[in-house]
Amino acid sequence: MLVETLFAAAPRPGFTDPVMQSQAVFRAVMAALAEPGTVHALAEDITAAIDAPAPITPAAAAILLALADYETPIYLDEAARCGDVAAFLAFHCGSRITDIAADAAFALIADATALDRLDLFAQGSLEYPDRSTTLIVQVAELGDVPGEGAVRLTLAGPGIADTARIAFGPVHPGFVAALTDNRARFPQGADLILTDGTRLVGLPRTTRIEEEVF
Amino acid sequence: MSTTATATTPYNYAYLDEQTKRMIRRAILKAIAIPGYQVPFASREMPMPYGWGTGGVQVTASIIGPTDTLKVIDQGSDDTTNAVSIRKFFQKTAAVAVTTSTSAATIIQTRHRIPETPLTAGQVLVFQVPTPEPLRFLEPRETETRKMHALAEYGLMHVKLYEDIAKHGRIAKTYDYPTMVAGRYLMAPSPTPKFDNPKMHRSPALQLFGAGREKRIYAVPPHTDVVSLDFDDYPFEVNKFDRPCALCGAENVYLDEVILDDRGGRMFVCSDTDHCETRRAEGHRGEILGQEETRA
Ligand SMILES: [Zn+2]
Repeated sequence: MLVETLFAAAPRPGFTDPVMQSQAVFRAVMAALAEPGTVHALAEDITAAIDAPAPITPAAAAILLALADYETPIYLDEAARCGDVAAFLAFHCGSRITDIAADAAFALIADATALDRLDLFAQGSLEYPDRSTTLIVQVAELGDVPGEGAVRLTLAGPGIADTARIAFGPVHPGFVAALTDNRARFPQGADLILTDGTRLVGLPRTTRIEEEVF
Repeated sequence: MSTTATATTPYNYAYLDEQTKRMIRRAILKAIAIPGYQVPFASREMPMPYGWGTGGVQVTASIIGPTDTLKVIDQGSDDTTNAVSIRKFFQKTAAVAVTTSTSAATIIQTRHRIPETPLTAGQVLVFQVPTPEPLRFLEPRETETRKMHALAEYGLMHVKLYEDIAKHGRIAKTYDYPTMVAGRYLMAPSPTPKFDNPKMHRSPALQLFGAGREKRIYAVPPHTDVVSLDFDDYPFEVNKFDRPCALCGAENVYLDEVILDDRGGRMFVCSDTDHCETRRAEGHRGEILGQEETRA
């Protein structure tokens, strides 16, 4: 990217207090991945301050601003490859934007209805299963009564006392199967953070899922 | 700019620079996603020697925020030089509230012990780990131990424990007793006494382990199985203490021997000082304080 392109327009604002807001966002992400299925809201002063270019939502932007940098290539799905998204992330995170899912430390999925595979993302190796992609998946609905195209899941595994339930969507019809395949590759696999724009839910590779019919 | 002291002090909030924190935070998230697996990280120099728990300090520095309340224990005590220094370090660099109360803390950094008071949901227990690799004493080569974890080839560890039984009639390890996490990874609770192993099993708290010198971070999410290795004919047993605490009368707690005088006088008291003080404040009295009759 040319420097003049990057600075053609003033970059939209990110965190107003990067040190403290990064810490707060990280703690929400940590709690979400430690207890899959629990819903964690980001503080309003964080989501309100971030003026992320569409279609990236404030929460998805906050996660990347808190965790991504020049060491972590970011993959954008097709829906996110538009407007100022790449320039915004390059400016605030200093990350390289990649078109290759398998190279990505983070992936921003702006359109969950197009996400039907997780095995194209970095899976880590058996020796280094940590070298895998963390996907940030934007969904319209999260945690509430599911609407059309949404799924309701029963979750079990590390971080969950007995079982947990979560609904979200809309997602691709193959999304649940992709999650099940991802679990089957453990200890390799991708980790997911679902977000509706202000709240987040973690779905690490350890989580066993069962789809509920409703 | 940060809203806290960072503008007027020569270091960043919680000492570490933001790039280092992000790197450690990413390692912590992957550690949570792969329970018991040791995530490599680029450990930084800290303003304290390695033996002082630099791994735990880096983990705490990367997670802590101004709304946290921090407790630091060393051998169960809040008052050792090590615990006091680390507590002061975070008071100074992270403007954080501190406590000695287990139940009041949101983050507890520890070397050696897990508090007797059961931990609760939302709490984070950070362990300072000297030797993260449970297989290292069997296999010195990192490439080999990594392969063993990759394939879950843990037969050697079972053989070693069984040799202990053949030699001593029991498994000799009293601390750093190996565990299986979520049925997949062999994990070293180094240097925690095996007395505390059952407290890790399905704890509602998040447990994070930081090894500074060895540059490893690992984790046990809440409600996760942590099973101590054993055999059908030699089941895992915790260290038993044949007496209650001399000060608070607590039973089934981890006791430390305290020398009273130079004529061989000694007593056994709770290693968890907060637990002991809380019980005494509630009126419990041990042998040396005049037994249960004086209970308020
Ligand atoms: Zn006591």
